[in-house]
Amino acid sequence: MNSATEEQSTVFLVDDDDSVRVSLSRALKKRGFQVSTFPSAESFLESYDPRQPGCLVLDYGMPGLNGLELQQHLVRERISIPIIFISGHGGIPESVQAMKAGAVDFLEKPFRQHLLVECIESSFRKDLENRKYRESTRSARERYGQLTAREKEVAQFIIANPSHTSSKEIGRELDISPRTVDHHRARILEKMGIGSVAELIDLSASLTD
Amino acid sequence: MKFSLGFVLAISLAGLQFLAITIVVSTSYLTSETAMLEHARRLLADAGDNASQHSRSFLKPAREAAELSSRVFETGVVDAGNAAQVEKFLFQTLQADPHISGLYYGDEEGNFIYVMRSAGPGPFRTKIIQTAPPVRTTQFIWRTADFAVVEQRFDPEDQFDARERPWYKSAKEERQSIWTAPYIFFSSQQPGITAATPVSHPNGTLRGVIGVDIEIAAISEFLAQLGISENSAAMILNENGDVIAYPTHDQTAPGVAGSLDFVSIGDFADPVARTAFAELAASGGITVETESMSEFDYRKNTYVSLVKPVLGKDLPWTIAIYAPENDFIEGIKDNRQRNIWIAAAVSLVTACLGLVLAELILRPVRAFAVRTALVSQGEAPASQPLPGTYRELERANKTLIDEIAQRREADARILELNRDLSHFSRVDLMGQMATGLAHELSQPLTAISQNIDAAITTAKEQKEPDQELIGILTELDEHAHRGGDIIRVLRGFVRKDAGQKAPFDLNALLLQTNSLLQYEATANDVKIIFETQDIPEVIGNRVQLAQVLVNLVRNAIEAIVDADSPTKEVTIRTRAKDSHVEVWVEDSGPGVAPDIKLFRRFETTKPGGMGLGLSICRTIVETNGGKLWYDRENLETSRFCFTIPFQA
Repeated sequence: MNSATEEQSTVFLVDDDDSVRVSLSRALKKRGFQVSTFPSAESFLESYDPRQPGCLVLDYGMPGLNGLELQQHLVRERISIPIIFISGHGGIPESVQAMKAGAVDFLEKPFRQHLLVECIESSFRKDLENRKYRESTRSARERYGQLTAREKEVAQFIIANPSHTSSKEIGRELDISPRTVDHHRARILEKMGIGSVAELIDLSASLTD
Repeated sequence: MKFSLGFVLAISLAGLQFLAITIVVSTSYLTSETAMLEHARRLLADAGDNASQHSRSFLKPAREAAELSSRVFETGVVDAGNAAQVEKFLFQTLQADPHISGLYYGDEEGNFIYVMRSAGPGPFRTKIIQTAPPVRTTQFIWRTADFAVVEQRFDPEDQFDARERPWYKSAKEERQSIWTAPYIFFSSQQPGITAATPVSHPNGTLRGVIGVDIEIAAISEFLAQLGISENSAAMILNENGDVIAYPTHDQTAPGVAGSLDFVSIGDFADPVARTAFAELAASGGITVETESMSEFDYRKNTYVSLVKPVLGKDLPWTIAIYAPENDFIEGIKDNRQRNIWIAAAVSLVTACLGLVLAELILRPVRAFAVRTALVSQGEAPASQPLPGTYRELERANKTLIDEIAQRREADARILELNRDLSHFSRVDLMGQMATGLAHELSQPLTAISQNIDAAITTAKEQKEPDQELIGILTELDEHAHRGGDIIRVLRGFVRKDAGQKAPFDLNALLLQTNSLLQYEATANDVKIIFETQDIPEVIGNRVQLAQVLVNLVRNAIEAIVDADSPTKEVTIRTRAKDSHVEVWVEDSGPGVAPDIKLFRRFETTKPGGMGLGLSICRTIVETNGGKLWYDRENLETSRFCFTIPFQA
């Protein structure tokens, strides 16, 4: 599994105004960003692959699905791409709503380029962190899925009772011999690719989530 | 057709009493007439009885006298052979009965003694014919009532022979008392009848005949005195239909002396009598045995008539009486006429009273109507006390006043909304233009700024960056941002003017805007239909949203009118969906062509339009936290939708 880098991140630009779309994508490309443009929220949703890292630069006021609605749609779909709003209306209530829903920032057109660039860069970092975290969680779950039913039972007990991890205690509780517990524990650590029971407990958040 | 209350009242009051009077008058009219006719018949019958009885009592003494004389002679109380005795006896008998005009006795030998009333030298006259040999003598003696002789003379010329007279012949033939048919008396030349009774010898053979004369004139006089009524007449007819007696007796008198022909009823001078009885006589003689009464018309007058037998078979006479009804009911008729006039007068007076009464009853109603008119026109306050009136009207008044108050309030609200809207339209147009300009300008400014950024980046990529160019570009970027700052200020100004948001009832607002648009809709023959649901209160600027509604509906009406659609309907629907209320404005017009871009500022299809309406609407709706769009997917109608969030 390759983890994504900032170089692979893309700026997804959605704006219905042609001149803005063209000029903004040109400027960002000049600054070395990868830019993908869309004239409407619908066309963005059509071609967007959530596995692509990056951030969304989104015009607030558009016909059809507007910026805010696209944001809400993504939240519902559990797609956590960072969103930077740009708006020609620049209303305070709208910006508050957008920020509440998790937007990175809300920029009024025309905006200073350095503000946008800063936003994009912080968004990229945030996106990559998110992805990394999600990735680790996903692999831990995958490995956990390879455990047998008895091994899962033992692992669950360890996660649920982190202070009672001796073979005796586990064996008594699960009505098996301490030796068998030792055997299971070794298999669990091996299959999960970890070195100690403490690491297993650290992973517990990803497993139960 | 509606009548005024006053008219109805007056007509019913006057009409009712008129009806009542008419019924009373006509009832009494009919009953009194019946009663009077009954009375007339009774009078007539009484008169008939009276006449019959009187006639009988008139005739009876004559017969009795004849029979008495016969018995006196037969028994020898008076010697029939002694002329002096016979004369004296006849004289006494004549004096005893004033109806008798004359008495006589004739015998088989031709002797004849006749005592009669006279107009001559003495009041009585005796004629004595003696056939005793040697010669026949005829002697006339006039006497006083005391039987004293006034004058006497002989008449040698006299040829009278009693035995040849009809009365003698009949009595001799019948050998009993008889009545002769009426005839002219030889001596007096007056019409009359004779009662004759035979006088027999003790051996039964006929000795002679006694006759008693009655002049019919006397009956006529009696009939004249009967006095049934003013125009009535009673007469006596014989079996041949001849008029024997009539009140004016000269009617019956013969035209030629000596030959008595009574006038037949058919030729009678009295036309009414002719009409009444001629038919009866023509149908084979008059043989009346019982009394009968009938009615007939003559010259448009109704008469009642009565026929009645007088004596019986031996004197087949009939009393005939007629009388016009009017004689009996004329008084009543006059009275009736008077009653009708009185009733008419009473009607008139009571009608006037009815009118006055109606006026009195109506006065409070009229006062109420005037006041109501004043109140409804706003010329008098509703609180002004009600003039004295009826309880029903008081209740109606209360309802009416409430109604007026509600109406006023509604009108005032609509007026206020209208004022707000027009004010808002003016103010908001500026704001909207500013907003529109701000938005439209922000796009190219953004593009400029971005292109400058690209240009600067490009310039910096050169091996020897042109610092002057970079400086110019940086300055240019600053200018673009200064423009942006100005726009931001403009936006701030517009936002400040945007008004307050508050919760309100959207359905109520729809109805108010409907009132605003009703004139326009009706003028264009367009029907506005509401299909609203129960929706929670929405939050927003009421006046701004009213303007959106007015704009959309007005557009819809214009679209329908321009396309001259067969169906002319604008439907407004509301429904709650998720966290907002959705409002649809649908029209039966042709819809918006696919190539037309809606909601673009300064783009319009309307001549003279600025192209701001829909974009302003969209801005307003968005400012209020909603969305406005045209539903291109709905093909049946042209549908604009907008949403407004409702209270959480």
